[in-house]
Amino acid sequence: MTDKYGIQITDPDVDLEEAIPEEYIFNSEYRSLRISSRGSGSINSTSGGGLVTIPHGLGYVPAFLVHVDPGQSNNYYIAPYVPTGIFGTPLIYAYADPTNLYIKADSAGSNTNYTISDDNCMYREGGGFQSDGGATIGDISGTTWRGALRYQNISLSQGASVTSATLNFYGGEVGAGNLDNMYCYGIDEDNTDVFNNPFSRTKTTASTLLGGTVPSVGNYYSINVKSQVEEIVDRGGWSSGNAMGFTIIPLGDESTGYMFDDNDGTNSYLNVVTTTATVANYKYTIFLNQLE
Amino acid sequence: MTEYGIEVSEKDVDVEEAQPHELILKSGQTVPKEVAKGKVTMSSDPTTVNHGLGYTPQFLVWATYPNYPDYESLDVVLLMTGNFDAGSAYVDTSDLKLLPAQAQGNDNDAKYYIFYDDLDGITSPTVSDNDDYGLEISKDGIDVEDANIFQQTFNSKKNTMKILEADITTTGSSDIDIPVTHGLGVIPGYLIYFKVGSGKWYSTWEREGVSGNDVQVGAVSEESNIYVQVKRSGSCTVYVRVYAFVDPGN
Repeated sequence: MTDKYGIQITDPDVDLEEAIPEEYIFNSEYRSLRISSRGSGSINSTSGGGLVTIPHGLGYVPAFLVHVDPGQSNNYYIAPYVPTGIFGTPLIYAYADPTNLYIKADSAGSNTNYTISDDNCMYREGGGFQSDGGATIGDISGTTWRGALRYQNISLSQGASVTSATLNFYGGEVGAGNLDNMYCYGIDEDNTDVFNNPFSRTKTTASTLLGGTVPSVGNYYSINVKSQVEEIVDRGGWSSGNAMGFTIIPLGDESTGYMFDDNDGTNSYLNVVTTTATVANYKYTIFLNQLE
Repeated sequence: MTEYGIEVSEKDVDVEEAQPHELILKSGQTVPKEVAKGKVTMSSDPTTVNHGLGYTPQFLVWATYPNYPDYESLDVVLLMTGNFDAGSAYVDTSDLKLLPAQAQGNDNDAKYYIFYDDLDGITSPTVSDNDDYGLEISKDGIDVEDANIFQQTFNSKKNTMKILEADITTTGSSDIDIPVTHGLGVIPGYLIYFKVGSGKWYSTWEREGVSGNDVQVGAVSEESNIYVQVKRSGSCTVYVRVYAFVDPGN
């Protein structure tokens, strides 16, 4: 450095005349970060919109540095907090304008479709005929059918609550009419095994009444099974990765149409949406250094 | 302006007329004081650096991307959470914990800086400053002879982060890497901030939805340039402020 002005302070034992830039403690040739204010607190994505607003009173946009402690375990990371990888969606992040520093926490969410993996995951019974080669519900020429579906590797922890769960029954073949007085139950087991006449298995207390018109071929009939799913994962023996099953059973012969999932490529699927609150501590530094 | 203390203005700025943000140093403004810095190879998960402060300090860490396509082996990135290819870092009350890159199978290096904290509530600092040399500036109302490290705005025995600033503006709809030449002769540490259009300013790699589009801005630091990486899914103008630290990131 050749400019002979300003203040320069070097590391101990470093000759001021020979110091390279990184050996300076302070050098007025360079700007430095200067602190305006510091603070700490906590944030919850389900409270106050998950937003903390910190007035800085500077009248311009300052530089800032935020560290966050997700899970409140006294482990602080540099924000933004991106638990799913650098190209994922940040759950905790910070931004500023001329008035405030903002720290925002978003809830983590998942939206998963579980599909049928093989014939042992479907079952149908009607008029004394039983088969695992598909699932049928409704009425075919005066014969009432009931069906069962099984999904494996359900990624829900024991006791989890879900935002929504929908069983979407596929109509690979349909008969026009209605689906009436039919109930969808969960199979109340820790880890539902492959099907071999599953209709005698214990049912969940929760159930959903079907009703309405059979959709046209190639479409789905959607059944809200949120309560059934939560009842199953509430079981003490449930663990993430287990299999979960459902039965659709007529209580009378009011149905006039039918749906047959023939397990031919497109199948009935279970959609589960979960939301997990993000709770964290934070520490922030607002600098006097101006961004805008 | 109150006529006491030290004030150092930026080049070409009259110190008598300088605004607070135009001052390099002012005795009433606290400068982050470095506790420790160092470089480690993240050979274990985690690799631990003891800071011994008894509380969770603020810190900065940059790490290399070993064997990652498109990057040289010494290039560094700011370590936040979830960086599969470079690792992540966090502090607890006794240690800085460095978690190595998962993707590449080779150990990668991290350069860290840990700073003293002076948040309210820290009443028993584990460090004191008894060496009688150098320049020490205490906070207003504090006897400089009695001030501990938290009560000092400046201490010439504690490194400060020295910065060069650069601004970038890019308008378009495609992803782009923009080199910012720093000329520092080292691979510098850095911080970046960005805003999209007339929006607010975010810290690095935040995602800002703009008219339904997402924008991510990150950076990689190397020997000659800091490459600012802008990813966007629609047409927009992105403004970026780069702080390149004279203090190395490797």
